Amino acid sequence: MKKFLSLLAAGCLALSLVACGGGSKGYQIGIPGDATNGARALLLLEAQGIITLKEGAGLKATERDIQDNPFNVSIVAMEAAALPSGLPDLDFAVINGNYASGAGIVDSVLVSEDPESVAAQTYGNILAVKEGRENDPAIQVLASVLMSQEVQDYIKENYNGVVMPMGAKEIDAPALSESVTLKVGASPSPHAEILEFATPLLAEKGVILEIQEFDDYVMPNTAVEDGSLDANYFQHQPYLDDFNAEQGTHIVSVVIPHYEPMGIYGGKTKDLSVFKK
Amino acid sequence: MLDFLSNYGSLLLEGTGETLYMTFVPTLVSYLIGLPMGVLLTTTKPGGIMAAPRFHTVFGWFVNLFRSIPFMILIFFVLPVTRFLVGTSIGATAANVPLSIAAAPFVARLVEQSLEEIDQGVIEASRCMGATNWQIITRVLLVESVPSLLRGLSITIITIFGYTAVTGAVGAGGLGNIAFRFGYQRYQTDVMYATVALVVALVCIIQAVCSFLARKSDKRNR
Repeated sequence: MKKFLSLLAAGCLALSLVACGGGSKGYQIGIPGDATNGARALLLLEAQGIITLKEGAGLKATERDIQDNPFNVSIVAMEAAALPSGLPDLDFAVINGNYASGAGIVDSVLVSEDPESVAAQTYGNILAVKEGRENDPAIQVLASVLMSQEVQDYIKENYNGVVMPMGAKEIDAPALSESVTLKVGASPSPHAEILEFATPLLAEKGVILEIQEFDDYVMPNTAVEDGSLDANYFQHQPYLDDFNAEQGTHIVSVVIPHYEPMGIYGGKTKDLSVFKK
Repeated sequence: MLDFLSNYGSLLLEGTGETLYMTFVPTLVSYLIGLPMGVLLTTTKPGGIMAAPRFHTVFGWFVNLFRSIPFMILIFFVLPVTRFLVGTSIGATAANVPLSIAAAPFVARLVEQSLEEIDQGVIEASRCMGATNWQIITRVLLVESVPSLLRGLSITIITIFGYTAVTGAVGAGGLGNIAFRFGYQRYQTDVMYATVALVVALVCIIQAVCSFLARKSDKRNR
């Protein structure tokens, strides 16, 4: 029994030593721990001037790539979906729009990625077709409608900031002499919803849109590859690049209609002005 | 090698510290809770020194309830409790709460098993000499079963050690989290190997110390 107690005492001693070293000052900022989201979150923090990253870290950055940390913030990497529930215990957290929306905290967003940012350009959701079809007249009409002011405004107004338009862009689409049917694969939300909104606009220009909803991320690409779909709209470029490399497919991006931004959310601290010099 | 150490040495050291912190604090807490629970389970069972079959059944269900929740889910399930007890739901200190809650019923079952091994004759003998229930528990049951309890301790420590690998989900860090985030997700296999080597070494040390103490305390070896 004495030995048992002395073991316990030794354990306590060791622990208190470890615990003493663990104290940290400065603001705590939660970021997703996984590779892509984590790097994306750090880029957003860099864009806000809170940290600077080592040159070339880019989309592979981790908290170990922080070069300058003028405000002495400590980065807490954790499960992306757990960030909203951890927010009350953090000063700030960088959260994906979909998780923030699910947790009902979109109102506490302080700042989001803007459409010009590397992350938005990289992780924007693309309309993709089989290589060689990107200049098909009907595809061009579809692209021009998705990038039109009307559709872009619809995206902006209907998703509470979780889904953001990339901004209207003029695309010269040839007029079609006769109506063409396009089959497009899409994820149910928001992609299929956006396409549904675009359907009447497309009909005016002679494109009849058939939307095929998918719950998985493989079928829509294999269907585009084998020609049973004309296009798909559900993925971002890094995923597509990966898919092409893995499956030997030849699918290319036509336009980027929207992106799903990450934002900095306020927890214990509600104001980013603490990072002003 | 030197390059690797200068690059990742501090990360691995920090991870080791966090893992040990998240292993030993919950071990301590879970024994504070689990040891009395285990004693209750043994003594209240039918034929035990304080037989109370109905209580025993209900208490057994209660223990099983917490034994059956998968740890990853338990972390988020007890989040409000964590926040209430330690004031935060983030980091290694917060992770100690679900770790302790998960380990306590586990400890209770291990203690129960250790106490069961004691020869009924010894209990009968002390009863005949007029020992009270409290005396039987503190002077017979817990003393006679020390070698077995120590073997149980090594199982508990190593089980909690394994649990700490997933507490990275609440930003607790630790070796498991480093292996997962840097080794697996970012394909830095050297980090993976280093972490695994550290983990293996730590587990060996824990097991060796506990086995040594168990052997020393066993009166059959004296």
